[in-house]
Amino acid sequence: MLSYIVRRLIYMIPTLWVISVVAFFVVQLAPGDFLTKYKLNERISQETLQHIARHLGLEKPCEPLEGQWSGCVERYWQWLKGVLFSSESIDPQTGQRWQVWSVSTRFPFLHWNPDFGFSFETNQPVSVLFWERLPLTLLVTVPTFLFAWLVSLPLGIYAATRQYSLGDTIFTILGFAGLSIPNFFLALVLMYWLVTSLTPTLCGWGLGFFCPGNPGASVGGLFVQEHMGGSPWPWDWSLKKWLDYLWHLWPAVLVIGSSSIAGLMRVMRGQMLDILSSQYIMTARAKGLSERVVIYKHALRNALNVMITLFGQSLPGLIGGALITAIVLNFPTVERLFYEALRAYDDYLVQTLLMFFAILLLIGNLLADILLAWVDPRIRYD
Amino acid sequence: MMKHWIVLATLVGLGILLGGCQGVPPGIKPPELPQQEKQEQERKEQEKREAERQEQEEKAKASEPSPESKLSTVGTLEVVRVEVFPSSRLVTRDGTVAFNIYVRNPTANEVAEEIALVLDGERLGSQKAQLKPGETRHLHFQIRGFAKAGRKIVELGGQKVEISVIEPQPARGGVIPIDAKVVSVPEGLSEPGLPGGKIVVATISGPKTLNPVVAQETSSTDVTGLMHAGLIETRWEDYTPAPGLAVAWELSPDKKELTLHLRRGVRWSDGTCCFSADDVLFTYKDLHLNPEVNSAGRDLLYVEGQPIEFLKIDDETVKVIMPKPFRPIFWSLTFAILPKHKLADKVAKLNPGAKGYLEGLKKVLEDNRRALQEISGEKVAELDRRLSALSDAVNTQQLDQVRASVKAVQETLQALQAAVTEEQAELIATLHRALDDTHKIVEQAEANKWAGVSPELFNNTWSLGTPASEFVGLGPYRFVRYDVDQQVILERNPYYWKIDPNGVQLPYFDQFVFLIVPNLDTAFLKFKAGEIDVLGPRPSDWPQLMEGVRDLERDCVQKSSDVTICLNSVNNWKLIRNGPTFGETYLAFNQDVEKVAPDKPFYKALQAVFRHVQFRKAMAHAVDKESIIENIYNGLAVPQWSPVSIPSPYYDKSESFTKYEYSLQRAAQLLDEIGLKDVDGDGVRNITDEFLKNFANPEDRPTDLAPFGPEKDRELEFVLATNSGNQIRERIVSLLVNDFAKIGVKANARPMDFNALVNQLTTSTFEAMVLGLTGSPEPNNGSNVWKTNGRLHFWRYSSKEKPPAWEKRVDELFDLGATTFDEDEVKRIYKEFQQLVSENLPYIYLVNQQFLYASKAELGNNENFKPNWGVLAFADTLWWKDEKRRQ
Repeated sequence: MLSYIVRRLIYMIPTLWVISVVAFFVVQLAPGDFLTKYKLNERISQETLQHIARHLGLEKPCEPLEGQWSGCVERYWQWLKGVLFSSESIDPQTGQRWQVWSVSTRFPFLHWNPDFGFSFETNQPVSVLFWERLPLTLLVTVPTFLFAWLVSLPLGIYAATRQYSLGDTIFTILGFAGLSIPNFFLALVLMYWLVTSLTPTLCGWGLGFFCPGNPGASVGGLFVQEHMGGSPWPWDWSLKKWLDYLWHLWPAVLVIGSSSIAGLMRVMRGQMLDILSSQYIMTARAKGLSERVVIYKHALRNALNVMITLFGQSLPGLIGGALITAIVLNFPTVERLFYEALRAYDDYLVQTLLMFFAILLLIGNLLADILLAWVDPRIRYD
Repeated sequence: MMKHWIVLATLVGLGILLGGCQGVPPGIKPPELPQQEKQEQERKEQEKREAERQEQEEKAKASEPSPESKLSTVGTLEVVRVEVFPSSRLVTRDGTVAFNIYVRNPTANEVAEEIALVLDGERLGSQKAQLKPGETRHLHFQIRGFAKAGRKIVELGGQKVEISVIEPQPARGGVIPIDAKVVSVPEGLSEPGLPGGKIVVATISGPKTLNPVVAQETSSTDVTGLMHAGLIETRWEDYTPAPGLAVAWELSPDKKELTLHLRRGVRWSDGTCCFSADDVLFTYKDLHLNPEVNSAGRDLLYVEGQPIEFLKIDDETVKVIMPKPFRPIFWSLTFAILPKHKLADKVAKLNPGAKGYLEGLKKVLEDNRRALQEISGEKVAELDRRLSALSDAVNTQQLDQVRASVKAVQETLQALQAAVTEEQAELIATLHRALDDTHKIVEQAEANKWAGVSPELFNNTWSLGTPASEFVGLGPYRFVRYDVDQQVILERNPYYWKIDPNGVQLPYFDQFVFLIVPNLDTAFLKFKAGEIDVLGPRPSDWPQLMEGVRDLERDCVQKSSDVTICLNSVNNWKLIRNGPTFGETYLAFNQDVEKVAPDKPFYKALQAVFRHVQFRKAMAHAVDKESIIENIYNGLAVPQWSPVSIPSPYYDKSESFTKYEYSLQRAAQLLDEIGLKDVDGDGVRNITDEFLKNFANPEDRPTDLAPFGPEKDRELEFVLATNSGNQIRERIVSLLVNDFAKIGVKANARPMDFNALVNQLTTSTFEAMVLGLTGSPEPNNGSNVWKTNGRLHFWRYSSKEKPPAWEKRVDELFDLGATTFDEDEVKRIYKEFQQLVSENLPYIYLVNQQFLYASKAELGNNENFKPNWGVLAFADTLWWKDEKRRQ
């Protein structure tokens, strides 16, 4: 098993390299670059434009569709060089040590500290921008992820064991509704309902938590203004901040969760039905096993295989799952950073985040494969 | 104790100077003079800076054609005008009141008269004015500080000026500078408020940097704008300049020099005393004009390619020298002044380090090698040896060796200096400078500054990761914290230099919070939920906001023709509609459209059509502005006809430009007249042979029609693009396409990605486009668009080589507009420009949205919000009328 894992990890290296090349050049296919938005500013002269281009290293054009490659290759190499060969976590421009978690501080013997480039917009290292947003991102995605999986699995099993019953039909309809309503729209409707009817009513009933100025009356974001900032880690929070967080979290959990629940539930149901109709289930029933044992020991364990694969594939969703919804719900997440970087043609930032998603996907697949071997004794890699 | 002291000594000194300086350019005046008290000036160039009251007086006198009417006389001299700083006539007890008195000599002889400054009957001092026949010039007077608060009468040259002296109240935690500015109505304060509380506003995106020099986009400048202040501020009413960190200014008679008198005793937000001319020079010379720095405002500091110069006269006086008279100079003086004490060590130019000084030293010697060689070739060779030893020491960073080699180099230099003859003064000075450099090398080495700072350091200074204590400014607020993508918190600057007429230090709020809300729908909901206090709504949000306004008669106040304020009593909101905004939407045809496909004759034909003014006029008649306003803007817009934004003071209020009323019939007729007819009966007009032969502009007329093919294949058809994602523009395009189809012109709507669109614009490969530019009060900011050599002259780049006559005139008008100071004249210049554009229609202007603004009803002092400042205006004078919000 161990040798398998090592082999898979080694395979990842060329895969990642190919991904990095494809990602970089596909992103560059879109016309324009970071400077384009300045070009229509009537107060910026040609000299100033050139000055900015020089400052950011964007002098050479990169328009693959027009056959101008030199800039792309240069920028890609710049980025790759930083990632592979950078040995110190020192900002070359200010001479200061970057205050982020770095490989070189933990494993100094490696003499390697990947430098993922800097953001054109803020002039900050990409890694800083990423780490700043990661904790709050996880605060949104982990509960949503857990919610989606913890709800969809039992629902799927329930629906499969009671195929075409009233409950199955209701869940199916709800599931399809959840799938077909755009998340961001659902989020807006939910927020509108909260603002215009739910919280005023609750406040009217004398619940101070929901009256203006209190966390309950706030929509969007993760906290009310007073609770933003401070430690992002839940174990440092006061009770008030916890309540605030939970109140802001549930619309996200509901909106983002609802669409994944629908999909996962349907897959779970299908798999279960598939297995339940196989002959060994009939055998199990025939030899008089209780229905519980038949379903949970014999059917479920076999049906889980596909779910585990899906689980592995959904790992990048933890960081970059619900882009538009995160913006509508005003969450300060990595998705939003990615979206804004894409819009601004912030090349190194986009590239690094894409690579990060790719790594998560590869790791998710590996995890799924390991889990499969663990769950299903028939699967062996050696 | 003598509480009011005026600069009497300098008045007398300058009185003498004035007598003796005729014909001497003011720039040559000895800089050690403490106050540039007097400068000549012509009467008419000053209207821009006129006090509001005086302007009204002027308007009352508008029937008199002669602007040179006298106000009073001093002996034989006529007083034509008195400028008072501040124009509000409100001043703190220790503050500065300044006067520019303009006198004219109407006689045919040279006249000298004494002009006295009298305060409440007590003569404070006088200056002698000596004028040549017919000459007009000004004298500058200042009173610094008064014995006690109250009303004062100042008499100057027979003119009486009433001044209110205000006693400041104790500072809240910090210090109020002695020379504080008293904020009054023109600066945005309608009513004095009470301090306390916090305000929360929404912004679309977090700041990208907090460095005001390099910040480009509004998400950053909105924040830095509150943390910093400029020398000059702009009044909300008429966009005229008002004193900021400069208390008063004088413009020289040749209009090329502006002398600024700085506010005294202003502390930085870290408590450091005090802001001075050094900071001004640092900001402009070492930062904005320093090529290493990525200044976002540098282009405003160049006049026709020449930089504006800044000179320090003394700690309180700065002289700005323009290469040519430059009227928009006041906009360039609104830049944030930055603290030299905090930032000087971040600028490479000021911190070359030991290596930098060594390089400088080597260069000096290299430049003078020949001269030195003549004196002593032996010594020069020795110097070379010793310098290379010094280089080694510096490169290996060995302090002892550096000291030793510097000593050796110094010895050689001194020996050389001794050998130089008296006549070679220049060489002596050079060697002297070289010696200075050697001392610097040791100094820098001792301070462990070997390499000097990187040229990029300043551009990355004050980034988002910088600790809050590093941010120091002169603005109303100080930086506290940025919670990434969530909020920016600012707090009151307790050293701020403005007070209200009750003597309370501004700003009133203790905290100013920007909540970052990227989605406008979410921002709207947050406003509804009461989480944000101020909202800049879209036209589509307006009906919802107005729902709670039951009775338009009772709840709405029409403050002026433009401004309506409504109170939504259900939700407790104040809703303000304030005239058109800056920026405009327009339709442009590419008059170089053959560049789309140079090998296709069709585009050459289309270019002939686009270049034909009658075609563009027909299109202008086919634009249904009323429908655009009603259907797309919910009625919250006005039609626009002129290239100057409607709220700009240079907008032609008489609307003498040509307007094209909506008439499809007229449009069709105009097209018929020039032979653009539908020859094949498919409902779309064709670019006929008749048009090409007889009607196209002579220079566009093809000699040979053969390559163009049959005329029925030349449909009058083009792509009408706009940037996708801008819903308003997309809807405008589809509306235009419909109307154009009715007159047989086939426009194909195409929303495009913004970047692709910019690409087409800058390479002249678009066909037609609906677009908008930001616009501003100052038309000269549009010179990049309008001048034929402008970078954004994208509707006809070829004008650079072959400008049509009217475009040549526009070039002239823009040059004139920037160099003329007489406001009436400037208005005439831009009026002609507006007429020319409306007749020639390079752009067909569409509509201009009204400025919309919503806030909590209890927010005070925001009735005067003007488009130029958006929802952040008056951040220092807003206050909560509700006591609970002030806690």
